[in-house]
Amino acid sequence: MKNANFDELIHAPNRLMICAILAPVSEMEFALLKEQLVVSDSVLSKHLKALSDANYLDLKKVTQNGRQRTWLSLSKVGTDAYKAHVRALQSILGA
Amino acid sequence: MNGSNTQVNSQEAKLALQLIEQQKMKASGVARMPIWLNVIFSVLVTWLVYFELINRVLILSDVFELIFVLAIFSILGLWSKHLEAKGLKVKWFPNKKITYFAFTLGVFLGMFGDEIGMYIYVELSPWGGYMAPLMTMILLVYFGHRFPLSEAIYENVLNEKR
Repeated sequence: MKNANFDELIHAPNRLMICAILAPVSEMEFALLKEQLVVSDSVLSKHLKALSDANYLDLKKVTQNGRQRTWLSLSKVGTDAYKAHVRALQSILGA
Repeated sequence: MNGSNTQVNSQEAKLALQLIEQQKMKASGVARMPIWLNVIFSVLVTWLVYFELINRVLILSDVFELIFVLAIFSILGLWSKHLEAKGLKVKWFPNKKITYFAFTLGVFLGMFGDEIGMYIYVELSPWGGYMAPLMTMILLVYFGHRFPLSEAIYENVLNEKR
């Protein structure tokens, strides 16, 4: 059976939502993520920083059409931690 | 598993899983093609898979096969560009069972689609010739609409009462 590990950092609702929405995609832009989560810039930035500090998140700043865009994606460490956390939640439910 | 999860009860775990499914639905909603584009895409793929069979009626030149391939890749490329402009980059080959299943089915249909179609056409004529392409197209539309990011949404988790 694959490793299940409850992760306190990921479990916070906003961070869990960030991981869940980033997991199935390659990359998502900050603005779209903010729109999907319906949170303010500052709240999102705070949670992104927490994930980034734990090496769960890759941030890439690029300038496109004269505008800076921040692309976000789950790192390998982040993806593994998120999957292990989901398995831990499922094991709590006995799924 | 560390000791932290002992503090999380099953109700909280259920809520967390519901939250995850909701976010997966949101990401899928952004990536999903509009139904008209999904239908056009599926018709083109079906046409390509069963080209010989459909060509018995339409009698098109072989160059149309190449046109269908170009049209299919153009739709995928343009849709990808559209999503990128919106702020989303999709995984082209996510490491999921459904991706491998779709890939294997695609290779199988690519290799044997004409033979399967012709067999059905001969054995179940006259309607059999229409059934195989029609069923393929319906399945393509369904899977394209249901799993735009190759992610299954567990509706039982979503529907459970809090």
